[in-house]
Amino acid sequence: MKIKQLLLLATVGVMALASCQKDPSTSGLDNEYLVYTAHDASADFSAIGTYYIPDSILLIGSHAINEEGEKVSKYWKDADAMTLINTIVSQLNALGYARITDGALRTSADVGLQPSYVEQSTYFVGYNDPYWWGYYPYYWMPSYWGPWYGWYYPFSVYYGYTTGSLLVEMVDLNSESGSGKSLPILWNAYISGLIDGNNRFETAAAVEALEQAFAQSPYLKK
Amino acid sequence: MKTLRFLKSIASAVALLVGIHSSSAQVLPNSYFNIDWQLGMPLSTDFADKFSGWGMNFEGGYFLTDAITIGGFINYQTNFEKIPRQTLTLDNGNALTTSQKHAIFQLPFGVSGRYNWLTDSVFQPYAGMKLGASWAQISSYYYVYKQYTDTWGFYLSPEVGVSIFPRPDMRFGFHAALYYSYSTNSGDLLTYSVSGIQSFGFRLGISF
Repeated sequence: MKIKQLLLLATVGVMALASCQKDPSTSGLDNEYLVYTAHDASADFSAIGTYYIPDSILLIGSHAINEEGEKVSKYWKDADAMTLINTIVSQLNALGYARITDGALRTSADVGLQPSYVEQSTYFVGYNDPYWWGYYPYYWMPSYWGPWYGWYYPFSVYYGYTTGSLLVEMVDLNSESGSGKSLPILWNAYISGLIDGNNRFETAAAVEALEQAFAQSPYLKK
Repeated sequence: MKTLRFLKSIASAVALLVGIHSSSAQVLPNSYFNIDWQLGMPLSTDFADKFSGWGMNFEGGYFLTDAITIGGFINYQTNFEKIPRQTLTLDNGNALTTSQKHAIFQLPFGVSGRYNWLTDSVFQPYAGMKLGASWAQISSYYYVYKQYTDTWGFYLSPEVGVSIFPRPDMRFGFHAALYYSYSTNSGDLLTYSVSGIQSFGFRLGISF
């Protein structure tokens, strides 16, 4: 009888310990923006002279329907989008890069900037298998910049991007292109926590976070 | 309050399970058991070193003599700290700006020994030592992410306390103790480094 009682006592102890680790309250953490920046440590940013940035932000997780009834990429082009793009432009100009504004000349720039916003659904970047990402529906296609066939990250990135995230990537347009060649990403900024309690995008916070992304990337300065 | 209710529920369950009744409260002859609410804080770690009551202690032992007991223990404790938004420079110049909540969860277990005084009285003080292994998880919560490091270490914990038996012949009463602990658990997380964990705290519970 005593052995049974001890076993029961041990069971109670194990059950109590099984759920003993207490997670902190994370309330509030997801309302404060996060900025993560990473870069190719072997890249020579001082050699970059010109850049091109599109006049709109690609919306990840959304699509439009064209006249042929096909699903096509959807872009964010309103005043808020222009505010964010202008923030990126002013930061790059302050670093000493020269902007190419003519879309026909975008492939002649040293680097391209591709801003994206995760409007819906969680968006996963395959760090160990980046090739499929190049074919992710409604994402920036490498062919937008030239004859490349996929993307290449020479550094670690966050595996999951959540809804409400803003992404800015700098691609190396001087890298070797052609069959089987991937377009390397030299720098990326991942910003999240931009949705307020009423599910509205916080433009002012996004501007602040973009400025922070450049502030915490001093190697970008020419 | 949740912890108090939880402790009360555990005590009630244990009382039912061990069949405590008016003639005797001892589960085994010449033995003791403690179930405690544990409150404590890490010292000198600079990581999640705020006082917390998220802990419990379970201990049992056998009286080798009227004064000396030897037995086993397992306990756990979680401590937290809120970190305002700051920029962390990571490997290769990559950087992360975020606010965080830090947590250390400690789960030590092993053997315990005590020297007891006045074992026939209502107040029975003792001095003891716990030795064993400790598993600790060092965590940072930020935005919707949790980043953590699991560590193992050697654990040592001197303790003083008192068992309070309103009726010493029944040996069912209360327990209070002060403890200090040191474990060799070490680990790195983001830009933070923990090298050994010292803790201080107290325990309140039941003894039988």
